[in-house]
Amino acid sequence: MADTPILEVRNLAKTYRVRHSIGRVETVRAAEDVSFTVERARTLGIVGESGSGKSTVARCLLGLTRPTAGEVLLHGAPLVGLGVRRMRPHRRLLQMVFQMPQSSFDPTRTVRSSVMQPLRRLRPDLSREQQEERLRRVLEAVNFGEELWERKPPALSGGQLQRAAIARALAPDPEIVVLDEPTSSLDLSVRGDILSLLQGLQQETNAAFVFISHDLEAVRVCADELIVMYLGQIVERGPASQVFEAPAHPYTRALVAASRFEAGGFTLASRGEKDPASGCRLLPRCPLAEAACSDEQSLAADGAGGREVRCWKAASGGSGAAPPEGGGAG
Amino acid sequence: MTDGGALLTLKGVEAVIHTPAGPVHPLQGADLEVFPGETVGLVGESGSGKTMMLRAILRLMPPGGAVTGGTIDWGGRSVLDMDPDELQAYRGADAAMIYQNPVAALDPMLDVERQIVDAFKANRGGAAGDPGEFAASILRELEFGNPEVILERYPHQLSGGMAQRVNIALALACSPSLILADEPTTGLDMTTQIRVLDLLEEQVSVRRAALLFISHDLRAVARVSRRIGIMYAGRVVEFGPREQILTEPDHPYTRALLECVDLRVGERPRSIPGLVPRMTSVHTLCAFRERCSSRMEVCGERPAPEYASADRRRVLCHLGSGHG
Repeated sequence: MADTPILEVRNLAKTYRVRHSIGRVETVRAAEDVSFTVERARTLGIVGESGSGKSTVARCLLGLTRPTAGEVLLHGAPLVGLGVRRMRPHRRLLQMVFQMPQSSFDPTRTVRSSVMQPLRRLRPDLSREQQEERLRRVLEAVNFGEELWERKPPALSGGQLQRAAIARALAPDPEIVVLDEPTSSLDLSVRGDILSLLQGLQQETNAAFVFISHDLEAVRVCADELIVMYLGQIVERGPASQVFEAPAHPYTRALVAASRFEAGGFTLASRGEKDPASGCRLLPRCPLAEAACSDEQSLAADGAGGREVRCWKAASGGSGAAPPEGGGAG
Repeated sequence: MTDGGALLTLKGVEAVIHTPAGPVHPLQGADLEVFPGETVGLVGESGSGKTMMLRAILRLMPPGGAVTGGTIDWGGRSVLDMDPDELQAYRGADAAMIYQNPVAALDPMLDVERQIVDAFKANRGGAAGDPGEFAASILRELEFGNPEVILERYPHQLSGGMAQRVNIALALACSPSLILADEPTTGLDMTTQIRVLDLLEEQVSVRRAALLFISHDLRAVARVSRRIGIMYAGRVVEFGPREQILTEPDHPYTRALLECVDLRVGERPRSIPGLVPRMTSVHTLCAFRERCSSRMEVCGERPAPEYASADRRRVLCHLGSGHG
């Protein structure tokens, strides 16, 4: 079977107009010219810091936010602009797991009732018995013990609730699950539990995952392809293992160094008051910046093997490919 | 033991918080020593009691909470016996705290300058120097390029990283001998975290202050702390020099935590099975034994003994120490 993408995002853009005070309106470009595809049984990782646009992209995928421009195609059918009713048949195929499990559950309902809800709403084709059967299957698949089914969210730990959230997302049998920081609010001691659960579930269901996180280590073990975003733009993309092993964009290099918590890694200056309107948006923070970086023309650089880097210096060698890590001591 | 030189010594500290659902025991015999000028990190999962440890040190227990046992010694004085005036002088000038949520820790009604100047005056009684100039200079040391602009800002006009640097400035303003930091970088972006951690470490070292840093993230703790303590169920179950804790841990819980941090591509991500025990009862036996892969029969029979070895290293476990 030829692997055509399940989901295609083309030139997605989202701008917000923020009113500061009377007469002063600022345009924020939360996402700009973002394109990617999502394939069956694959995991696309999206990394970046807060304000990078990764959650905006996720919301646009799910139809929770309407993009300013661009297309989202599910099996070739456009999703942008569909109303709630016309979106519903697609909703079954596109599910989401949120960062804070405590706030993504109704605290007055039992877990069983919350996980049943998407089945009732999105799978009217199943009989009651089939829905019950499916409920059991997904809760068992995430190791959510039956003694916990009738509990309400305040009586569960973060890790338990996040497993219930994953079960709820999988319940209607989606083709794509968007995971927005699924491990960020959890203790490190349960992070591995959720990550290995996700890996197992993907093999079982063949669903595609979009894994959004600022925890690079977590993305690293899960993602096949990787997108790195900064201020709404994709600055680097490629096979996840390659990007992690040899980050080319200075922003990616800084992220990878920071994720290791080691001293003496590649660092950026702190973000200033104003971000540049054109040219490389990282310019004021980048230690490798030169005058030419403010020129929009000089940005594009295609690396080898499906890698793209939005930095002309990365392609010119020298400062690019292999980062000289661990230079300084202390 | 070598109590002589310690700045802060906690011995067998116990605490209770009375809640509508019954008493909770967040500290169940916690021991800790911090020497002058050293950086100590405490790691633990949520519910391990690490925040209560810092609160107990400053006697800032939450409503319904109290320290009920043990001793907290500050350079020969008992913190638990300080009168309100002594306590006022001790907080801020001797030991200052940096909180987890940097924006909430600042007063939303006051600009940055006023907050730094107030802290400076409160603890130095208007000693030498112009407070305004002092505020600008301390911000400059915390790598603000334009302190004059920042001084006029209100907390809501600061980013998370900036707000946390202002909090560090506030803590440093009174030249304390100990800085207590409660997950100071947890909500911040990775690259910002690293900058704030480095800055904190640098400033503490320049001022020869000691740092007690707590976090659930062993990686952050390892970055700033020379000595690491591992907390579990209200006790420090292992303590020692950073390199030893990271490379040759004695306690099975420490080993399990290290495996969770170290994710490897192609290997099954590790986790610790089971849950952190409820703190509604006091644990006399090892509280980790239910989750422990090295559990022995004796763990269910007798409390875990403490094994101490050279270089202030100690572990609470029947397995003992592999280090003498």
